[in-house]
Amino acid sequence: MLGRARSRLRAQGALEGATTAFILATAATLVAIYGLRAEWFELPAALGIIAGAILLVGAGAIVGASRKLDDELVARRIDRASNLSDRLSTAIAFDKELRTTTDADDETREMMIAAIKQGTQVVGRANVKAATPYAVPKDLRAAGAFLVVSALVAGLALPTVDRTEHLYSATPDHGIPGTLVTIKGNHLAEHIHNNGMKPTPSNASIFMANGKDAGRPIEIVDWAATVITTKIPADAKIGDTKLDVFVDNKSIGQVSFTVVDPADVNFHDENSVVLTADDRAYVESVLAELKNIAQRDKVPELDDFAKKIQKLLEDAEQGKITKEQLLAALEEAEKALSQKQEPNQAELDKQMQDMGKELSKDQTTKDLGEAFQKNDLEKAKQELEKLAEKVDKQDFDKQQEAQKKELEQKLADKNASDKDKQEAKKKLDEMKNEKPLTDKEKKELGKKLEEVAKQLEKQEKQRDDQQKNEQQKAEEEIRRLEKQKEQAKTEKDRQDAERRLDKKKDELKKLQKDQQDKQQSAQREAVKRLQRDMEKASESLQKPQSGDKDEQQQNDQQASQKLKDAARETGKVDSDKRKQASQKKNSSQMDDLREALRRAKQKGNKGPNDPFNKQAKNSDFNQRARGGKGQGQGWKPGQGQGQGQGQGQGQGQGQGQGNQPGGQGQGQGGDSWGVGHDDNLAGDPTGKSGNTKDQDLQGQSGNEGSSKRDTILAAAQKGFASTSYKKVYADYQKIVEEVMRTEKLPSSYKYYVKRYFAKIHPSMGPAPQ
Amino acid sequence: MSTTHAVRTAEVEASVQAFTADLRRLREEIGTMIVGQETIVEGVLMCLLGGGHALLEGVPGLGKTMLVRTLAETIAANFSRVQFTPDLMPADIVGTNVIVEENGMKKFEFQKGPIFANIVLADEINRATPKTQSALLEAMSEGSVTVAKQTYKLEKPFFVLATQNPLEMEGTYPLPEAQLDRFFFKLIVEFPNRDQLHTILDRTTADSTPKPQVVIDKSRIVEMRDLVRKVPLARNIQDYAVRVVLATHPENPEATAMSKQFLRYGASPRGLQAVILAAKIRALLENRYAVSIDDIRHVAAPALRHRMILNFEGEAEGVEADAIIAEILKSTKEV
Repeated sequence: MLGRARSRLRAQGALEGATTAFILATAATLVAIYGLRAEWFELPAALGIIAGAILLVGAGAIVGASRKLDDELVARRIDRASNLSDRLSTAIAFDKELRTTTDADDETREMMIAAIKQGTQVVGRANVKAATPYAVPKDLRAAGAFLVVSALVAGLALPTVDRTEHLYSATPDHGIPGTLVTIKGNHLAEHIHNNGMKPTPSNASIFMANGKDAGRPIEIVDWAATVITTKIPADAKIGDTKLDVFVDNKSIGQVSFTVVDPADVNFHDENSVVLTADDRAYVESVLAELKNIAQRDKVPELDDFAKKIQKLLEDAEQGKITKEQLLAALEEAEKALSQKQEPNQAELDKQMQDMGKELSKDQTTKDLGEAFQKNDLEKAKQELEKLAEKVDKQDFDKQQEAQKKELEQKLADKNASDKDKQEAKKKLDEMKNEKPLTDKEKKELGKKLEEVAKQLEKQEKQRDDQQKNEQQKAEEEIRRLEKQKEQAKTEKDRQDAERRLDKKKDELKKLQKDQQDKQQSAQREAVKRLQRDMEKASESLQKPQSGDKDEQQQNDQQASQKLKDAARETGKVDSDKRKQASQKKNSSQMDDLREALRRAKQKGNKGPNDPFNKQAKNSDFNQRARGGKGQGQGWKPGQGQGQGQGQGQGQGQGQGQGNQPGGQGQGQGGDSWGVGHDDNLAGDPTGKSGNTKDQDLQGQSGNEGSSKRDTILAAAQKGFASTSYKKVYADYQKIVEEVMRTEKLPSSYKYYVKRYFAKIHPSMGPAPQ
Repeated sequence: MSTTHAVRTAEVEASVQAFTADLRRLREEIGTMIVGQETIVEGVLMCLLGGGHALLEGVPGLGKTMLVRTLAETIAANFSRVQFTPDLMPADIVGTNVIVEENGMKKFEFQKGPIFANIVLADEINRATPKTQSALLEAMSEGSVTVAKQTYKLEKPFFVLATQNPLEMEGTYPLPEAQLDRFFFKLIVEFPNRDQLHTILDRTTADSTPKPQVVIDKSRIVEMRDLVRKVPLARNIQDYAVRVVLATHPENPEATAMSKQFLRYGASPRGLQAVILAAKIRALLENRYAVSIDDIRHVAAPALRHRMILNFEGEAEGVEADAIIAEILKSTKEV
């Protein structure tokens, strides 16, 4: 009976084990099928997994069947199923106990034996089938569900490997012409044939699909399985387009891309510098002014500087450089522009004038001398060049011949204007008077040049000595003051000595700096070279004549060359002087430029944007500045003077007078803020304190008749209303500029004043009515 | 199996059959007097044969006194009834020394109290003071009474059957846990159903009132008690009983959810002893030589219900101890 029950239990166990294993086997089979379809495995490997799964089911059945089945356990099942009140299981338990122990007393043992006997008597009532029923395995439902799901997933839901090319997106999706664009996708290399696929596959191409550049091929920089790198043409048209990718002349997809204008602020980098429209216009006007000055004063360095700043600003706006880099570059450029400056221009001018005075004593160098005396260095340069020509006879003749020919051609030219012809004739007449220098004249010139060179050298030496003396004196004074400070008897004396010592030290430093600057001065360097060139020319001119014509000719040529070099150096002094002068004049513009750039924001700056509503106020100010009507409460000319007293409950009283713009307020705060206010919020209109007179003005044609105007005499003397806005503007600006030059105002304040004038400039909008 | 063994086994079988037969006759005889209440009768007999005492809980008039009287008459045992009241003194139960004159000499003589009987009915035990209640302690557990340093053995079988009324709780003294634990079973007397009430009326209101016959001698009860203790039980069944009792302890890993939630203390080892002994009696009653798990289940409630102490939440929720025991029996695995 027990054997039969055990067999049935084992069979059921095998079924349970197989069912549980079936779940695992199904999972393994699913993996095998998926792997096969996804090409992770080859067919044999997949079949191997499936075979393993089948074996797993068998193994599950074996494990399930081979579990240990205790007799007592089996008997208990039969007891339960057959309602035997544990007679069978107890009989088996007692049987085991009687075999192993002898502890129980006799009567209990006999009772056990009786119980065993009773157990055997009820065997006939045992219902083995009921005790060990074949039941549906516990995991059958789960296994079935898993099988169905697995079949669905493996058979239907899992896609077969898709090898077609797909494009997803372009990164970035917008950019300026010349931008490198990464197109992301997959299976992009599936149908590419060329070796290594780099740099460009032979059977692939990319075109701009629409927009103004439709059909235009673009360069492929790199092509990989999941990414294509391409470059937008440098001259691509601005606007939306699609990048159409072709493989084997077949489009595999398109991605959107927008070619943006490099100047379009909206697409600039997060770090890019952003100038408001007003600021930008202002910076541009400053740069334009700088360029004008550069052209007017013939200072190419200044022009280069303006161009450089313009380029830097563009780079900053495009995010190529940060604001910090922009400011650093501006500082660098300014430094480069102002290096080797002459610290004492007057001294140098005096030197040149002295030289001119000396030169003007001689007939040959009279014109040159006068030019130097007048500090007209351009003229001096021309005179030196003329002298150089006159010194070398051969060269002079050649030049004269060529010039003569040219002028005669001009005179013969029918198309030439009368004015040109007259000028040409005049020059021809002048040329007749022009003659090469005679030997005597050359000697005199040589002598004069020598004298001038010596004079220059002497002056240089004197200046050096004087400088040294001054420095020496200052040093001695410092030593004396130091001693005095040490020996000071009272604290007051000591402090006094210390103050004077500091002052003297500053003087010395200034002298040293001055000396250093002079040594580095480009003008002085040029003057030194000028002096040397004069010496050399003088040497050549004063060489004793040996009778050898060639030697004479060579000397003349050398002298001529040196004079030309001297002319060049004079030109250099002239240009550097102009540069320095214009720079001095432009220092105000430089300040403005620096201030404007310093105020520029960075695009990515997410901080409080205009927390005080400056922009709105600015715009309102702009409007008012041009005579328009203000908006909101940004400005309240004539705002009243207010006095407020807050009380505990937050009540307050206000009183206002609007006689004058602005005012002073006094208030004693209560426990809470006051709520009272002046009834006349805007205050009374500005009082007309000046002498006024009413004028009836004659309306101009097209206007709506006469109009009544109040003219504030105090502000504009007379005729303000009838004076053109441009003129008024110019007058006021002139006065303000003068004030700003003479007064020491912080640059940021100057900026505001200048911005004000920039905004009310006649060119900025319609003149006020 | 040797002949001697066979003879012995036959003797054991015979004694068990005799036990079963005697018990059956006893039940039948009591049944002539007590209508229905089979479970109570069976429980009371189990207590008697297990050597313990029974606590009956039920409203008045359900035949509790009748049951005890009938039981005493059927086994020809002495019977005494003590009505517990608040002014009842311990001496009123156990007896006292009184001065008697004998041959002109005066001496103390112990006057036995009602406890000196085979079957004692302690009616409405919870109405007496704890002091008086505790007077029963020694008698119940030791089977002896000590008065003035003199110990008096009580005649065997000694069986106390206490009753308490669950309704009138005012002015009562609930039995302390220690005393409750000394009761083998706590039996809940249910109200008779319609048929049973008819039968009661027929029997008690007619001319002839049935009178119980003596079925067995009280000495036979003592023999039967000895046999009960010889009944073997398999280790797994004993283990089952142990686990059931452990499950009544909220701190024990075997404890069920209800045990943990509603119990303060679980049943004592004495409770486990009661379970096993009662199960053995039930096995014999069913003519079996060994205890089954069903026997344990059958006797678990009366043996354990008064030994489990509910916690505040359990009392507040009105949780029945029987419900917790039912949950424990359901959740305790047989293996």
